[in-house]
Amino acid sequence: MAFEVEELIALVDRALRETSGVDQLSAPVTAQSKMGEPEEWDSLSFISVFTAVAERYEADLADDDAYHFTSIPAMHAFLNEIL
Amino acid sequence: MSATALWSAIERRLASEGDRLAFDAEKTDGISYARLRGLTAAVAEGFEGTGPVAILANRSFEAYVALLACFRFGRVFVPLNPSFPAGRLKKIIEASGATECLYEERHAALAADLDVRKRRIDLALPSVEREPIEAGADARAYHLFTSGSTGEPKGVPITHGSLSHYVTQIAELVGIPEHSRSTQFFDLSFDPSLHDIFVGLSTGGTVIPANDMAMMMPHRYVAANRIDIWFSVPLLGVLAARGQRSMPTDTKLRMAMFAGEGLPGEYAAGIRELMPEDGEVWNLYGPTEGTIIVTGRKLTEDDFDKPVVSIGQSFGENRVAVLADGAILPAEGGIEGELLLGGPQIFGGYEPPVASDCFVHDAEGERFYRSGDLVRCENGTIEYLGRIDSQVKIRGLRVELGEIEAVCVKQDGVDAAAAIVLGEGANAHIVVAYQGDPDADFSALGDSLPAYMVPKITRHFDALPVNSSGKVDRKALKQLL
Repeated sequence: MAFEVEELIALVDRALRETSGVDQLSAPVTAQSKMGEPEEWDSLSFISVFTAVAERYEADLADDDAYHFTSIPAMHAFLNEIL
Repeated sequence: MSATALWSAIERRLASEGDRLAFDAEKTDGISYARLRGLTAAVAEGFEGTGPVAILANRSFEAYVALLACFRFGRVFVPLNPSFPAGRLKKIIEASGATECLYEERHAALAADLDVRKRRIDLALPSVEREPIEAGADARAYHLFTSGSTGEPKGVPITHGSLSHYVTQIAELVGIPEHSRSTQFFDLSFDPSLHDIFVGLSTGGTVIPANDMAMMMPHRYVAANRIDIWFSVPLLGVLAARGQRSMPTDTKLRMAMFAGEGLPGEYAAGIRELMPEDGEVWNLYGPTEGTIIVTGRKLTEDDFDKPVVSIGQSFGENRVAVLADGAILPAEGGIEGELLLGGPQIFGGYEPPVASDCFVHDAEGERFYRSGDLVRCENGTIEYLGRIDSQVKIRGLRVELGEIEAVCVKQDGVDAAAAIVLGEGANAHIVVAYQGDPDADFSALGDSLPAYMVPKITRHFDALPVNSSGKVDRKALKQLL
């Protein structure tokens, strides 16, 4: 199934806003975003992004899969591969 | 000269623990004590001369083997952090007098830049038998470099005697059980890593290096590796707690220790989510100059509600006092002042020497190290209040703001600079305000400073705010930023 990047962006945006407790992030999440850009995407919020995606797609993710969750392009490619 | 208790304990473990794993990691066979004995001897066979040995490796079997080869065979080790710029590593090599560098394969390109004899750390070397060289208390064990306010890293040499006192005493104070499995989060260039390695090995335990993913999902690393002893900066505990809430794991953790920066009670409470009800949490404190940790406290229920947990009291032969109004006073009775540290773990002085004297002597001639930490001492415990200088911690890493400023004013067009920290915890970052050319270029800062010391923001001011004594007014600056 083709997986839309816009949906992933919205998911990450929501997870980051919830974790950091802000209404608006320091920079928008885009198709090129990665950890540190926006700055709210840090090591503390990493687990929230990982969990949000795993729950949304009911994916059984292994620890090693987490390496793909440090940027939108990497996540998108990975999710398209496994879903 | 007789060997220190630590040196002897390590030799005993290497000789007696056999196939038990000294180091372990997922998807590896680990390294047993017996193999570690033969492998460190094999690495030592390649040593040339007697000079210090730089180790370019981090949180890896290679790092541990190289370090143990030095420790067992009479060589001073000098940890080099592979994430630091080559220019800084070259300064450390020169200042330490290191005559060779052992490096991990993945850092070969960086090693090639260093002007010193180099050798790859080869874990496939056949084990050999070789008589180790006993280390006496006065012999130097390692030489670490911390941030220095003059713009150059400060060298802190530590003896085997100091290290031995620390490891043997902390294991007793905390009650490290034999044959535990423990975390290894700290970079090799940050001295709590030596706690991980030496406390682990001297108690017959297994040390498990945390890879990059473990640093982001520490609760999974703890569960997957059946770890029972945790030691980290406080922020990693928050990550673990948050992860455990989101993706619960079946962990076996039974003890957690924190060091590196102030421990908020709520951070300490978080780690308990990975532990049974009777799990212990400890707050440890110490500067590099005092050999890793000098004071400690086992948390009680009250501590978990406190904004910042007390740093406890000294242990073993360590001693503390307070410098207040120019007098050296006992650390008691509600006194406030600069914390002074004395005893067998205190280093002998910076090397290369620095201009300012960091020691004071009491009426009996006892030497104390001036920690720069402002404290209040009451009811047999020490409350940390802050710093008396511009040293700060960024995610547990020690940063002299003066060093950043000194490097900044070396950039073309910068006449004066002041560094401050904005944000807290994981969001703490350095901001530099400067006078000079509004278009001054700071892009080369990363050639001299580690990434965590490079300012995230630089901002031009026509004139930096100053106080009545003419010094930069950091409080006013903070408000302006």
